[in-house]
Formats: sequence, structure tokens, C-alpha cells
Amino acid sequence: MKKTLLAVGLGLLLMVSPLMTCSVLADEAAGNARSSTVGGTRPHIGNGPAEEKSLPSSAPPATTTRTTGATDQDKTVRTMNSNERAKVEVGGK
Amino acid sequence: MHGNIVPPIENVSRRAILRGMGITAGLVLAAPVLSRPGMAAYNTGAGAMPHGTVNDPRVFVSIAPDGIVTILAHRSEMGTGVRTSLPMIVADEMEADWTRVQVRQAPGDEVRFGNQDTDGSRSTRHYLMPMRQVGAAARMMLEAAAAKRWNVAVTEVTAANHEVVHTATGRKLGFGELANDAAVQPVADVSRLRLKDPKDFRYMGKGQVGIVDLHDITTGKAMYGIDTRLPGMKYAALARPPVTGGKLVSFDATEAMKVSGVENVIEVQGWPWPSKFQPLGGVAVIARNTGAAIMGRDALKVVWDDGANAKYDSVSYRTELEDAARKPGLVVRNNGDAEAALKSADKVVVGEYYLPHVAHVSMEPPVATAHVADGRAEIWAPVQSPQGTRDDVAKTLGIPVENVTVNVTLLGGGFGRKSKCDYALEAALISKTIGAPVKVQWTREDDVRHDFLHTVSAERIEAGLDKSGKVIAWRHRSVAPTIASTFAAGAKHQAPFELGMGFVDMPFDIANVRCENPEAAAHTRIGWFRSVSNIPHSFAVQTMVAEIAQQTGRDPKDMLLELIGPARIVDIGAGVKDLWNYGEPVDSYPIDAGRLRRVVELVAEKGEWSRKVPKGHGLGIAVHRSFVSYIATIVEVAVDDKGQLSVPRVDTAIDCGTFVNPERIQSQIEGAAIMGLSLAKYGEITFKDGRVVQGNFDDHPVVRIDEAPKITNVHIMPAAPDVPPSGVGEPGVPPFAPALCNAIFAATGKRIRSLPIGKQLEPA
Amino acid sequence: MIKVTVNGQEHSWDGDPSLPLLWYLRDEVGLTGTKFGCGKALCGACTVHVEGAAARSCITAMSDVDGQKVTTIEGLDPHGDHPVQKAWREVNVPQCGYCQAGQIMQAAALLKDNPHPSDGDIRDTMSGNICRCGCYQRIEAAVRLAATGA
Repeated sequence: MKKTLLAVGLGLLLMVSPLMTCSVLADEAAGNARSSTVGGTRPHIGNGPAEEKSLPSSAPPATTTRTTGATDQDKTVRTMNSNERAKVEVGGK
Repeated sequence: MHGNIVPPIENVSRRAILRGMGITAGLVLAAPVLSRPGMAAYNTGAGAMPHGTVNDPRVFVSIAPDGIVTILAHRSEMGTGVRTSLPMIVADEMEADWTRVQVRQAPGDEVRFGNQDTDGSRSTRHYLMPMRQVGAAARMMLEAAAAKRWNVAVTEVTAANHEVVHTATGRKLGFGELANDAAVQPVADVSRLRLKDPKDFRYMGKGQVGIVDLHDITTGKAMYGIDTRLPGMKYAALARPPVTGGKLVSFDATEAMKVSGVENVIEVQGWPWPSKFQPLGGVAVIARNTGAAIMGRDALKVVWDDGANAKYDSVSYRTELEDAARKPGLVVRNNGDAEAALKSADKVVVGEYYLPHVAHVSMEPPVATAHVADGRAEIWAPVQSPQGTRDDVAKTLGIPVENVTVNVTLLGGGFGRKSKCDYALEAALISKTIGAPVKVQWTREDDVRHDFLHTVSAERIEAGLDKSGKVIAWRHRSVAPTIASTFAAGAKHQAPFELGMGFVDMPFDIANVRCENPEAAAHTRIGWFRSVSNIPHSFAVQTMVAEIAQQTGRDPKDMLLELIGPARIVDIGAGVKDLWNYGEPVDSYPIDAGRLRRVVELVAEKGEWSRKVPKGHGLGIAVHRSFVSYIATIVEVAVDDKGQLSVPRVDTAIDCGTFVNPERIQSQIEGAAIMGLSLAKYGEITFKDGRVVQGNFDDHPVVRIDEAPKITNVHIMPAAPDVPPSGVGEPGVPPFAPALCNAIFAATGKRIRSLPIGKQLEPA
Repeated sequence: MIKVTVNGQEHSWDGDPSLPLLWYLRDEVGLTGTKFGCGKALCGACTVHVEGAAARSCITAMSDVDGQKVTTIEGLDPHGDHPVQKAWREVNVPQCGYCQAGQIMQAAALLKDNPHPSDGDIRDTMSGNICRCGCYQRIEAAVRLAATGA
């Protein structure tokens, strides 16, 4: 679904700067998002670490039948877990 | 200890009555009549909740000499209006003038205030009567103080509109003048309380009181979790393991430390999964402002050990779920002999449905501020479980719970995400490490990637029909990882509270019913999402009804009423062992087929089910009981030749028993339609290599104003005085998606069996 | 040194010129009415006015506003009685309220440029502002009320 790029506030032309082009391209790449570049030249922040690596994994496929959680929790966490489980049996939320 | 450096969050507001609700589309059918003076005519499960309820006026009400009445709100405000509605009950019952009432938010302390878990659509249901009792007791203390001052019998005086009047002489004393004397009067025993006659209510049931934070919200003064500012406070953003159960191996903070404003980078402890609401651990960047902290976080280089969920993949997991739903599983309900009845049926209608993980994406991402020093901790956070947060902070830091204060801010949305306090625990751990107050801010990507997601499920229903088209057999399998997996490794079956959300409590009048729950191991954190398991269960059941109607040539509304059967109390009997009923006693909150029928009939009438709609439009209907309320929805959809859908009109009828604030019921139902539309159109979180694929509103869209229903009409069922109050915040969500998809079928002939709708309607 | 006028008051900033205006306003100036929702100009919660035009402060760098006038929700009207704010209260728009400062700032900018918007104009212009609670029906009604007085 292709949505029209949003024109927010009609004074946006006041804010055009060379970096604007980059923002617009980023938005188009984002597909159907209605985003606004109004006022903005700041590259997006918040996406996560610049470089993330993971150690080679030997984990088997994650299936509906194979449980993966740790069972060797320390005593505090074990207690918190069992208390919460008991609590939701009543309240359910 | 923090009192001298940390100003308390005031969150105090003075109220004004709205001039008129004017521009809304709601419809209150009749003013409700609340229960008669005296004790409640019903029982609730409030007493079974942790710390039960408290109805002592000295806990909740204070009166200043200038007459200002301050009422504590002890439940969290996340948009339901509870911070207005509960104090309004007290004010009405005590004859306080709402314009002279201030509301203050209580900190987390369930021993003082009673249960504070703001979830399960429980606040009004559990606190209507205790809050009336608080108000009545306060009023009687004021009357007793006045009678003593005038040296007359208490029966000769009456509290009315913020003053006490001596009827015979017309003498009057304002609440402020009586404040000190009233405070030392004994509190009447509950059995002696004189509750107001409901016909005398001034605020309750009227819908004319605006929310207490309205002015502050519209002027930017309302204080959310993100708005806490303390002297000397630092700001933190974290890099967390991208795979649930993963852990930090190493990190390089060289570039992060070069970011202007970044002051420190530290490791944050994580716990092996599953560990309830404990932090995931990772690396925290500490800075002088949030922007710097986020930019520093984004400059980190991190190596992770992904752990056992490194291969979680939504595509293959879906296939497994769907396969599991085609095989027998744990029998969780059995009435009659559905297997035999299916074999002997003249016709079997089969429906297979799939609903993916969904993220909460409250507009305020998780955020919390903590100041930990000298063996004490003070937290400011938008949390749905203030006492739970307090307990967890105490345990995580290893300090007594008495040394922890949790100040509850406004919540910028909650929807269940903020029932889990991991972000507050992160702040506590970081503050302890750096020795300064700190605010931890999650970015939107952090929120989407590290949510406690709504479960993912495959649902399969087989309905056996006899020659006349009557449904004689119903076998429903529901396969979905359970919330219990967040507390216990190896939990593979839905917990009673999940089974009881529209699955095993299915109310239809069918002789042979079998419900099975094949196992499903979780590979990410699963949590409560507004209306929880009602979403998949209701989608499956209500779509199936329309499928049967379609295959037997009947009107879907008539089919629904036929399946519900005659008005009666539904007795599932021995079919389900220990049926979970939202924690409520069945004597006050039975499964009432009559009420289910009536909301269908009401919405059909008010929503003009029989109307003609233009070509390309269609009407769909669904009904669902959840949180002990009854809700039916009719959606009108329009689908254009490009497969784009729009929603010209929604009608919802709700029977939530006795009600307090119809205007907020209306807003909750309007909002539930939007949330229902969001999850139907777009709602999907997928995993690849153990990681959440989506990150922000671009690849995880939610409905915007130009896609919103043009109008949502809300029809509130009038309540008899003895009908107990029931849930409002969540029940609007479950029927929306099936009603929408049934409407899509009516418009296009295309049956949606898998959510989200996404591009399914686009021409091939 | 960047100079910026916020709600009529002059401020100077000698820190990172790439800092998003949002965080400058919230954390350095202490004006917390402007909210963070996405960091990517997708949700509109951070909407302020720059030289009278609606701008997403989360993607606006401090260097973008050097020498300019910024208005936040706190400065929209001295008494909080801008017609849009009054309409918002009249219609009882908010649920949780978190996105509403951005919605109001967006609506105020819309009405300044287009005092008599059609329903389509309202929906188009307001579609950059997300409300997860789903107050859209009332937002539309409130903008219409602010524009027409009815």
C-alpha cells in the first residue's frame, strides 16, 4: 500500500535543507509509513548499536515442542517467578 | 531521605464540570440506577486479589480548612479515566462539590490502599462499592461533627453539596469548617453505612464530568513517566540482547564515549530467561540528556551470545502451530461426545485461523526514573502495578520493601505492557551503580524489539451440523505459547486464565463440545496485551459462526442468536474443571446467554443490521463475553477495487452492568475499535534468527486518523440496580476483528482467516 | 553557539549541534510538554512550531533552528486557551493524553494556514499524528469545532 507522503503544516518549505533529500528517501524506503520530514535534517537515532555481532550459534531450531528457558534460576528469581504464577492463577489479568 | 532533594510529584488538579459533551456519537440509553442504599447486592472477586480492597475514608480522603477535598486515586491512569471515575464515586457519595475536589495519585502501597494492579478491566468492577463506602463514611463523619458542634441529634443534619445543614434551623457548616472535627469522628462500620439513594447521584452515571487531567493534558503540564526531572539526574539508553535469553559477551564503548554529552558506559545485569519482569541486561550509556544517551547507545559495538532461541523463526513456527492444531491435544473441555457427533454429522464446517504476535506500542515507550542511595530506592514510573514494581525493586536490589517508594506517574498508554516493570528495574540497577538519579528511556525500536508480546496462535474449529443445519458438534483446538512461560521454563499449555478467555467458556447451546490445547513452547517473552487470549479465541469462534451461516445460507446475526440459544445461565458443568471466570464468583457473574442475546439484538437494532449498503460495502457482526461484560459489534466496511479497505461506520453495544462514567465507556469503545482495526489491518511482529524483524511505526504501522472509522456509535445497555459492574477497558477489542473480517466477506466474498489482513485483499 | 528563541525566551546552546531539538527542549530547557514517540518523524508526538510551521522536533537538529523561533505546547497560548486547546477540552478528546500536545500543535498549525479545513483536509493533515488510544473521532470533531465554533 502506497500512501501519500504527509504534508504537515504548510510552512515546510521554510525548512528545506540539503539533508532533506536523504530523509525523504529514507521515508520512501520505509514503505507505507506516513512520516513527515517537516523541520527535520537530523538523521534518525534510536535504532540500536552501530555494530552488533553474535557468537556462532549451535542452537537447534526453535519449535513448538522444545522448551528453551533456563531452569537453574537463582533463588530470588525462582521465588518471584512462582509467586507471579500463583498470582495470575487468581487474577489472570 | 529523598524528601529534601526530590520534590514529590504533585499531579494535583482542580476540576471543572464539562459544559457539555456535545460532539460525540455515543448513546446512553438510560441513566443507570446504582444499587440501593445499603450493602452491595452482589459479590466480586476483589477480596481474593492480593491485599484485597480498603474502604477506610481516612486512607483516601482529606479535607483542608479551606474546604478543598483531596481524594487519592490508587489505580494507574493509562487512558481509561479511572483517575477520574473512582474519586468521582467518593465525591458523589460524600456530597462533595466536584469543583472543590483535588485528585492526588497514591504511591504503590497495597497494604494501605488495597490492590493496585490496574489490569484485567477490574478497577470499577472491584472498587465501585468500596469507593462508595469510603464516600459514605466520610459524609457520616462530617455529619457527626456538625451535629456535635450544634449539639443536636445526627439524624437532624444532612450533608449536601459540600456543606452540612441543620434541617430544622437552616444552619450550615462548610466541609472545610468541619474538617478538623470530622477527622476525629469514629469511622462507621460498613454494616451501618447509609449509602446514597441512586436517584440522588449528581455525578455517577451522568457522563458530565471531564477527566481530571484534561486541562493539564491540553497545556502540556500533565506529568507522564517520561517527564520526571530530578536535581542531578542522568539519562540512560541501553543496548539489550536482541534474542530473548541471550546475553552480553563484550562491548566496545570507544565511539560511544566520544559522543558529546555521554558520561559513562556500564554493563547492566541480566537474568537467565524466563525471569518474570527482570531486565534483559546489556550495556547502558549514561549521558547529560536523553538524545546524547541514545546517540551514545547507537555508537556502541556489542557482541552477544544469542542463547537457545537464536533460531526462532515466525515462518517455521507458524507451520508447526498449524500442524499442531490438526492433531489431538490436551483436552480442556469436554461436554457430550464431540468426536462421535462429528463422525455422524451430515456436514462438517472446518475453519483454520492464525493470529500473530502483536506489540503494545503505547505512545509513551517504557521509561522510568530511579534514585537509589543509602539502602533506599525511590522510583518514578508509569506502571500498571505499583506494588508489584515496589516488590520487584526491593528483591532486585536486595533491600526491604519498606525502603522502596514507587511514585506512579500518568501512563502514556499501557495496554498491559506497563504491567511489567523491567524498565523500572533497569533504572534502579543503573542508579545504584552510578550513585545518582537516572532516567532510563527506551526508544521505539527498543520497545518493539523487547516487548512482552501478545501470543501467537493457531486456532482450528470443526463444527458438525445435522441435516437441518443445526450445529450438534464443536471441536476447537487452540495452540499458543502461554504467558506462564514468562515465569516458568517448560510451560507449554495455556493457563486457566487464558483458556477461560473465550475458549473453554464458549457459551453456545451445542450438545457436544470439545476443546483441546496442544502444546506450544515459547521462544520470546509473552505477556498480557489488552484483552489477551480473547483476541484469538474470539476471532476463531466469531469467524466460524459466519462461516457456518455462509455454508448453510443463513443470516449471520440469526445464526449467532441460534447458536447462543435461549436466554439462560450457561452451565458448562463438568465439561471444564475449575472454569476460570475472570476471578469473579459465578453467582454474581454467571455466563448469561440472555445478556449475550440482548447485546446482539441491541446492536442489530441500533446498528441497523438490516440496512442496504452500497456495492463494495459489507456488514459484519460479532459478539463476545470478556472480563464479565457482553459486547456486540457491527462493522461496515468498504473495499475498493485496489483492495484498500475503509470503515464508514461501527456500532457497538455493551452491557457492563451498573456503570459510573458512560462518557469514558464511550471513549474506551471508540478506542477499542481503533485498536481492533490496527491489529486486524497491520498487527504483526515476526521473528527471524531469534530477532524481532520490526522496529518502528514504519514497518509496524498502526491505524492513523485517515483510516479510522468515520463514526463509532456506542450503545450502552441500561443496567438494573442489582447488576454488578463489569469490565470496560478491554472487552471492546475482541469482537472488532472478527466483525470486520465478516464484513469483508460480505463485501468481497473473500474470507480472512489469518491476521493481519495486510495485502490479502489486493488483486493478485 | 546556537541561539534559539523558545516561547519568546532566548536560549543559547553550545553543546552538540546535531542534538535533536526534542531532547534539548525536554532535558536541557525543561519543557516536557513536547513528547517522544518514535524518533523518526512517524508519529507526531514531538510536534512543535518552528517559525510558525509544524515541525517534528525529534528529527530537527539544533543546528536547524539556529536563530529561529520555536513554540512548544507550553507557549501556544499564555492561558492554555488557544481555540484548539479549548475545543480539545470541550470534546473531552484525550484518553491517556500522551500524544495530545503533538496533536494540538499540529492542529493549531493546520488552522493557521487553513482556517476552514474540509474533513479531508483535517484527516490528511492530522494523519502524521498517531494516537494509540484511538481518539481520532474526537480529534477530528475538535479540529472542526475549533475551526467553525460548532
